[in-house]
Amino acid sequence: MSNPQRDAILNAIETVTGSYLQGKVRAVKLSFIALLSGGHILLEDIPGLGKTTLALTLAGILGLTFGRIQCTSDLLPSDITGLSIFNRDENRFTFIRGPIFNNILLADEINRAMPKTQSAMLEAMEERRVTVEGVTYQLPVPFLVIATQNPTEQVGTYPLPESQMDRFLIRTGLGYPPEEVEQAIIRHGSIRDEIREIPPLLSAEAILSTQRAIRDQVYLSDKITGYIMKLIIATREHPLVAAGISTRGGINITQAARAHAFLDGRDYVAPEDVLAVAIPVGAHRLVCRNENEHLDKEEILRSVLRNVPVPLA
Amino acid sequence: MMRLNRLLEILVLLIALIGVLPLYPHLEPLPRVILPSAAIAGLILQRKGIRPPATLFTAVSLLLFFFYALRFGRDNVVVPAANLLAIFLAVRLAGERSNRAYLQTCALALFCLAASTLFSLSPLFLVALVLLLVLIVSALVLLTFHETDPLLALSRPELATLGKVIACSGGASLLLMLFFFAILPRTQIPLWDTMPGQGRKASGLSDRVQPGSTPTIDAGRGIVFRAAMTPLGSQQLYWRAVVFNRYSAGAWVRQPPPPGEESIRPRGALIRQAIFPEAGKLPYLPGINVTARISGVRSTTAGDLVTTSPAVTRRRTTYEAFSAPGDTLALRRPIDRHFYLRLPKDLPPRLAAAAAKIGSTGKTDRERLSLAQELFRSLDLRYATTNLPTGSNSLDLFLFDRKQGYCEFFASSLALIMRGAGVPSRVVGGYYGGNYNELGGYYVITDELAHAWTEIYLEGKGWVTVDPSTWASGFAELGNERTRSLSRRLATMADTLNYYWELAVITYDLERQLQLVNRAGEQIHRLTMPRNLRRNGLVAVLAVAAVSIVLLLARRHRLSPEERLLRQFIALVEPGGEMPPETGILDLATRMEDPRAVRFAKLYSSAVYHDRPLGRGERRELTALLKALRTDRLRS
Repeated sequence: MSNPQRDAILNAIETVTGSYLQGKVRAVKLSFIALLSGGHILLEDIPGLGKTTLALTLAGILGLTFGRIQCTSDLLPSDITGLSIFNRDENRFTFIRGPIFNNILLADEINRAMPKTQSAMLEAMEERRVTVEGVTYQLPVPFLVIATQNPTEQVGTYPLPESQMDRFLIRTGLGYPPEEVEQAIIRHGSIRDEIREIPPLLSAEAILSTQRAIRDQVYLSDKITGYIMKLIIATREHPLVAAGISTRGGINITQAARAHAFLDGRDYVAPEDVLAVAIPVGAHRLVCRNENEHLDKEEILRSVLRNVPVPLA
Repeated sequence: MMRLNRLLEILVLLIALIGVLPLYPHLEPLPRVILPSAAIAGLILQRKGIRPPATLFTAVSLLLFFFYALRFGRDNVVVPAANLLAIFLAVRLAGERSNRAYLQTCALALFCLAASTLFSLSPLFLVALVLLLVLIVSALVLLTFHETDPLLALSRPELATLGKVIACSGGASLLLMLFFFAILPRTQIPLWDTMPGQGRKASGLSDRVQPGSTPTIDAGRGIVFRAAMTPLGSQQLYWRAVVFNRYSAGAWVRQPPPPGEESIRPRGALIRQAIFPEAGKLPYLPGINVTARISGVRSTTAGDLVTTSPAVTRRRTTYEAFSAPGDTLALRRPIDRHFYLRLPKDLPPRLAAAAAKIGSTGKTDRERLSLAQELFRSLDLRYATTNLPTGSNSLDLFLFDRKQGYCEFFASSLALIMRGAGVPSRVVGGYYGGNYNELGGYYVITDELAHAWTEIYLEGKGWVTVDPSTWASGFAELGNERTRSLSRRLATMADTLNYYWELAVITYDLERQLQLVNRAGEQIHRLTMPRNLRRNGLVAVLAVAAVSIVLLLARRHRLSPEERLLRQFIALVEPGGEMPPETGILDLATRMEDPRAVRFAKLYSSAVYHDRPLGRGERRELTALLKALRTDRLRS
C-alpha cells in the first residue's frame, strides 16, 4: 500500500532516528504510534538517557507547539492548567493559559508532583479540556503528553496509582543506546542546539488526517479482536496478577496495533502488530498481587503472549 | 549416501520378482526362460552403460504379442494372456531405465500377481500382495523425488525419514485393503477352474466300487476336505459319504434306495463338524457315521442317509454336519430285503460256494455274519495296495490265491458273501481316519484315506457297520504308519496355514471370522499367557489405529484451502514441528530471509486478516511460491 501520508511519517521517523536520536528507534516508533492513536506516552527510565531530547525532537520535527513542566512536590495544578489574573487596565480577570495548552507537553519526573497535581494533569489528558473557574477551555489537537519518571528514586516521590497509569497508552523505557552509537553520541556532545533548528516535516493537519485514515482504512478482523480478547482474559486469569488488562487497555492495544499496521504499510491488522505493541501498551496496566509486587510486569505479559496461540487461519 | 536411481533400480527389480513369482509355476517354458535372462541382461546392459534402441524392444514385444495372439481362442484365454504379461514384464526389465519404464514395470508386476489368482488361490498371493503394496508405495515415493532431481542422493537420516513416510502410507494402504476385503465380493475358487476344459483330478472316492480294475492304486495325498471339530477316537472316524447298493458287471454302483426305506436320525448329544470340502467332482457330503443332519448348504438326503448337493461340485462351500458316532443305523420299518439281496448270475465261483455254505450253516443273520468273519480270519488276508489281483475273477483270486487287497476287495467280497448267504448288505464309500491338526482344531482328510466298508442288515438292530478290512493283518499298522511319519506331521503343520487362509480369506464370512478369533484366542490362552491381555491389547491397538485414521481423514477433509496452504508453509519453515504460538506468519517469513516467503506471508495474511477467502489467482500464486520454496529447500 503506497500512501503519501504514511511515506511522510516514515520519512520523519527515519530523519529523527538517523540524524538526531540514534539508537532510539523503538522509542521513537512507539511515540509516533501513541501520537497517531491519540494516546499519551510514559517514558520510564533513569535520567540522562535522552527523554527530554526525544520530546523536544518530536515537537520540532512535527512543527507543533511544545510545552514543558518540571514536576516538583510544590507544583500546583494551576501551574499546569494556567490561572486567571486580574487585569487592572481592563478591570477584569483574564485567563493565562498554562503549559498544557500545547500540542506536545513534556511532564518531566511526573512522580515527583503531588497527587493532586498529578490527577489534575491526567484528567486534562483524558478529557482534552481544562475547566478553570467555571469556564471550559479546549486543548489543542493533536495533543500528546510525554511524561517521564525515574523508577529508582524513592524519597519524595508520589508513584502514580494504577488507575492513573492506565491513562497512558504506552509506557516504555529508552534503554542505553548500543555501545558504538553511545560512543559517537558522547564524542558529538549534546544536540540541544541543533534540535532548535530542526525543520518541521509534518504539520498538525497531516497528523490529524493520518489519524482519521488509520481509524477508517485499517481493517480489523474479528480474528484479531478475538486474539486480543484472549490475551486480555489470559492476563486476568494469570495466577500472579490481581487485576489484568482493562477494557480501556484492550481498546488501546487495538488502536496501537492499527497504527503499527499502518506504519508497516498494511491496510489490515495482523497478529504481529498486536504482538509488537502488546508489551508497551499492556504491561503497565497489570496489577500484581501484593506478594508479587517486585516481579517484572513485562515478563509476566511476555509469558502470557507465549501461551496464547496466534490466529493463523 | 545412497544414490536414488540405484535404490529405485533395486526396488523395481524386487517388485517385478515378487509380482511374477506366484505366476511363475503356471507359465509356459518360453517365458520361464525369458524372464530371468531378461532381468540379468538388463542389469548387465545397465552396468556397462549400453542403451539398446527402444525400437528393438518394441519390435520384440510386437512379435511375441502376435505369437500369443494367434493362440487366443474361446477355450484358451487366460494362459496366453498370462504368458504375454510375463513377456512384457521381461521386456521392461531388459529395456531402458526411465521413470516411465519403472512405473510400467510396477503396473505389470501387479497385473502378473493378479493373473496368478486365475490359476490358484494360495496364501502366497497374500504375502506377495502385501509386499508389493509396500514396495510399490516406496517406489512411487522415490519416483516423485527422482522426477524432481535424477541425481539426488539421500543420507542415512533422510532415508530414515523417508522410511517413516513410506511405512505410514504402506500401513494405511494395508488397513484400506483390510477394509475393502471386508466389503468387496470375492471368488472362492480360481476363476480359471470354472472355464470349460479345466478341472481338478478326481478324488480317491469314486462313484463306483470296482475292485480288480487296476493292479496298484495310488490315491495321492490331495486334500479332500477339512473338518473342524473336537477330536474323536480312531474307531469312530468313519466318514460316511455314499452307499453302493447294487452289484452288476463286477462293480458296486449306487441306485436310489427303495422308496419305503427311512432311517431314524440319531438324537441327543451330537458332535458338530464344520466341514470345508475342496471343490470336487462328487456331489456327496461326507459326515461322521451316523450323521443326524447336515446344514449350511442346500442338499437332499436319501432314505439311506446319503446326502448330496450339486453345490459342492460347482464352488467352494462349507457345511455343518451333526453326528452321533456309532455303528448302527436304525430304521423306521423293515427294509425291502429283496432289493438288498439282488445278485448277478455270474458270481465268482469259489466266493459263491463259500457264501452258500455260510448261508446253510448259519441259523440267523447274526450267526452268518460271524461265520463270514471267521472265514476271513481263517483265510489270513493281508491289506495291501500293490500287486493286486485283476480281471473279472479278481475277488476269487483275492480271497483264495493272492490273499491281499485293499478296502474295496474286502468290502465287496463281504457284501457279496453276505448277500449270497441271504443277509441283506451293501457297500459304503467314504473316508476312514484323518490327521488331527491340534493348532487349528480340525481333521484333514486326504485322498488316500478314501475307504470302503459294508453295512449288514440285522433284524431288530438295523444297518450295522462292519469293516472287513480291520480283519486283515497289516491294516492297523497302515493307519499308524500314516499318522506317525515325520514328514506327514510336518505336512499337517504346514496345512494349518492353508486352512486358516481358506477359512479367513477364500471362504470369508464375518460370523465365522468371529468364531475363528475366539478359537485362536483360546489356543493362545492355552499356550501361554492370559487371553484377555492379548485380545484386549489387540482390540485396543486396532481401535486406536482405526480411530486415528478416521480422525486424520476427517481433519484433512475439514481443512480449508487456506489452512492447507498454511500447513504446507509451516512444514517448510519449521520442518517436523509446530511453530511457537507467539509467532505470526509475517514474522516467520521475515525470519526465513527469502523474498518469496515474505511475499507468501503478505499475500496470505492480507486475505486471512481481511476475513475474505483466497481468490483463485492468489491461491495459484501461493502454490507456485510454495513449490519454488520447496524445490530450493530440497536442493540446499
